[in-house]
Amino acid sequence: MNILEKIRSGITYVDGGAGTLLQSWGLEAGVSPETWNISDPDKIKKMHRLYLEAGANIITACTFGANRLKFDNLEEIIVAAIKNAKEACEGFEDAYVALDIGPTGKMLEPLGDLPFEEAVSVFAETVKIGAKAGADLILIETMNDSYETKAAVLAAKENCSLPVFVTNAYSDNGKLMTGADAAAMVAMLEGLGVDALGMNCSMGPRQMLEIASETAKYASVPIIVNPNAGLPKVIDGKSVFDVDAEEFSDIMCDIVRAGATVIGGCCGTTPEYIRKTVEKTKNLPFSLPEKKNRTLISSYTHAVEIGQDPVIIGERINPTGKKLFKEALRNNDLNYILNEGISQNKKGVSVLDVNVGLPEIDEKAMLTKVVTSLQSICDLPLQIDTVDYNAMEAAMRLYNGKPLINSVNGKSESMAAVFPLIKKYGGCVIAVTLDENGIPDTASGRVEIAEKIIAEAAKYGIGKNEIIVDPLAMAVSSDMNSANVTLEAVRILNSKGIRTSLGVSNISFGLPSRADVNAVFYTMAMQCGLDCAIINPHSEEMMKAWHGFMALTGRDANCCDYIEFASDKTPKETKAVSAVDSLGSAIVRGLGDAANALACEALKTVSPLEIIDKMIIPALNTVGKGFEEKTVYLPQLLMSAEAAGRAFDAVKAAIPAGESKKGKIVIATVKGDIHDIGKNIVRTLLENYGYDVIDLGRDVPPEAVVDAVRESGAPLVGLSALMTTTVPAMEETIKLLRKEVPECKVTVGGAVMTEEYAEMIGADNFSPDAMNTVRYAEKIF
Amino acid sequence: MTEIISAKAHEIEIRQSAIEEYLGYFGAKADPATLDIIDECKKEFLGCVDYKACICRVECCEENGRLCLEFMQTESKSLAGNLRNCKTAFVLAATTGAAVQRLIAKNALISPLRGMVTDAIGSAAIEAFCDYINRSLGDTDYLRPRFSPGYGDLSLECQQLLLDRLEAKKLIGLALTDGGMLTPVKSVTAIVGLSEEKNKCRNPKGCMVCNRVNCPYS
Repeated sequence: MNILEKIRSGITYVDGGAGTLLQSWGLEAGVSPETWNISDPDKIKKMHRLYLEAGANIITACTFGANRLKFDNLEEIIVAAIKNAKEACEGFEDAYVALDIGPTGKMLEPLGDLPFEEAVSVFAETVKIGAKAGADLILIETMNDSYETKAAVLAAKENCSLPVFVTNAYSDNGKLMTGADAAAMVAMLEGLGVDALGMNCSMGPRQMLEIASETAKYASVPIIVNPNAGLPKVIDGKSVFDVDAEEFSDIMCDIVRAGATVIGGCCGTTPEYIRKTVEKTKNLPFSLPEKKNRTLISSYTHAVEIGQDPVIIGERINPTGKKLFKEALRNNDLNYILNEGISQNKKGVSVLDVNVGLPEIDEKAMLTKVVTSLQSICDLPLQIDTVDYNAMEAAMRLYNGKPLINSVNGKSESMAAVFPLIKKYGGCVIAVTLDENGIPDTASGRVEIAEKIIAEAAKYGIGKNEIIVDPLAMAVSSDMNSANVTLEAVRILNSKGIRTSLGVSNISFGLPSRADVNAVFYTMAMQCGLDCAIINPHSEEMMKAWHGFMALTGRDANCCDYIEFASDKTPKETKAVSAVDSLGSAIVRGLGDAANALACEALKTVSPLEIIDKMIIPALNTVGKGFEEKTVYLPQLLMSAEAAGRAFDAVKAAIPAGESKKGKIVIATVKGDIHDIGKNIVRTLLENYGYDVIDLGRDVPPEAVVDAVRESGAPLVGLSALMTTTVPAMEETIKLLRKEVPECKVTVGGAVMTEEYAEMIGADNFSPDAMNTVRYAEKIF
Repeated sequence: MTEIISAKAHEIEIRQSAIEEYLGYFGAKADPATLDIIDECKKEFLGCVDYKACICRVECCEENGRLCLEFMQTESKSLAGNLRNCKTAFVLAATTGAAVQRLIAKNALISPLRGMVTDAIGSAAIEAFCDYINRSLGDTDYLRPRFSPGYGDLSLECQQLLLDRLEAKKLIGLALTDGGMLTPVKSVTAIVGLSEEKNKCRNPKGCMVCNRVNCPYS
């Protein structure tokens, strides 16, 4: 039988820790075990055989660290490793060779600097060689980052047809190092179509028992548990693992009872551990996990279940009807868009809808940029909302988790485009009840389309639980029966166990006081069993409806959340605002709300440019001077700059086009450097002195800086580097700027930068602090 | 064998004065508005910090003017001075976790001031965690001041050797970028010498901030 039949027929055993045995046979610390595949194949084969004799069915070829980032002779190593493992299996029944894939050793973007697609390509190379060499399955293991896990799984699925098993290394808090809990990992991995999943390494069986039980609540595929031989501790001056084979195998019985059916060991587990585990567990009752049918989406930290409490999906990342948002998209102003995400998160939404479609922009590029940027700062699952299927696929691929997709509908063309993507990348999808014949007028008509979509999804192997039906809220102002039809459809779908969602605010289109109508309709829909809704969380009425519903339906213990929600409405700055009387003094004191209000007031009688020149800049100068004289400190300077920013927000709208800015400045943290706090401070100050700052971000290659200068015609560039190791990149950037755009001036700053350094690498100016950059800019423009 | 040390947020006391120093208030009192922001950011920080370190003990000796530490050899005079007369040393890598890096990025987006304050809290926190680890290593009187790659003439390049020796990526999720930066940010790698004699140096911050050319204690 093949390995998939094997794991479905009974408890299957994996080998133990290779390193432990090999070290006892002379493998020195610092030497890669993979090299022994070539230099000492007999010992490798002996190790495999010892585990097979102990009862292991799956042996992991010695390829854990075999990737092109670590080895030049990758093919030679992998081919030898698989050959050794296969030869070791000769004479054993039910023995399978796993191509073992561990982490790359690098951290993926955005936490580190390894791009996602490069990680996929690194793993792909290993997979191709291993599959060709004859491995029976791929075992992706010891992964403590969900994103790297996804890269490895995609590489495996795209480059071979072997079964894919995945085990993650959880920390003692039940999460991966980068934050994902067991539910999030199950959601993502099952979405990607792995054949078995679970955990290995980093802790002993006792600590793993709890995570195994948690995994069993969500998993529908077989669960793998390969613990260490306990935790390391020092006994008589020697480091040892603290669980012996007897205790290990006892706890493995509990782990089987908790739902694991593929079990083995990791660091410190010698063949003796596996032998005892096999002996004690082989006669335990065997049962595979049941199909859970839960509707789960996930981020890189947690899963959100749809079908329990009503889930709020924040709708604000969407340009429809929003002038500023459209402007932000056209100007590539990611900060504005990301802040929309952060502010909705604060309001308590569980999912963020992301729609960045505008006819004049490259939606695929923008959607992937927004999705990857959002997932570097915000841990909410995302709803990828687009009608551009290329953009949809690109965003799903780069998404760190299992996304919600908006949307599919009953048209053949839509289903043929969306379902293959759901099948490949995983995801739940909003199914809109319209098809080639339009939107049915009746609830039963809409339910019929929903069932058609669910049936079609099943052909792709996509379960009913992954489909969330939107029976469409239509304007009640144009059809007095529309709300009744929609609510009836929600009721019927709910009774059939089909998940539902609504874009609630459509209902009030054309009516006055829309928020009131929306809130009542939302409450009615929740009462009919609505599972999730796309709403504006900044609408007080909608949030009141949701919090009230939660409290009234027994979902809010002691009404605690409601009480907190109801009491959190006092504006913070009220007292301080009443104490300032001029815009200048609000800026000097760093009071943003007051500065904004006073600027609005001033606009009634003073021209916008006069406000900037006579009120904002002089106030900033007062604080700046204080900073230079060391009577004001950096936080206060920034507070004032941010207050000035709030004043600017008010004034900006009133400035005639073309008169807004003093001039353009390009700023960047240089290639190889991922620290940008200093650069961001400089940006804030420059912007509030009226400059148009083109911020290229961090880790910026020299060519990108040159391109930005060329494109914008900026006469000044500010470069930042935090570490000595990245100063050469700064020098390289300056050299390229000198060559390509010699007229452009360059000022440099950063923790390691000095006057001498700056001169040495050819900068025009050294900025020891942010104010100096402003002063230098004043000289240039 | 590498040992993992973790600590709960409340177990590590982040000194307020250290945060203020990182914000530029050397000796001066921070203003009330800044103090409020520090408080708010600290609450968020404590909600997501995940202190983890891995540590191992290595033998050290000097051979032909080179310092040998089992997993690496170096000609660094600064480190040799720091480890003089030490037969063993602890090698450690410590981090405040991935969520801290995300929090700093998020707060910097909301406002550069909040970003800077969170960054300062992170710096103060990783120092405090390293001090906590130091105390767990035994009698601190016999420990040499913590020494990190990048101090004196010890090159930053040796960080990769330290991380590899400790299996830091696997055990605590700590790695290096191609530019030699530790990621997640707010992480530290260091070597702590274990001396047979009492450490007479009383500079609480150790070698990295000490400007003495001829250290009388090494």
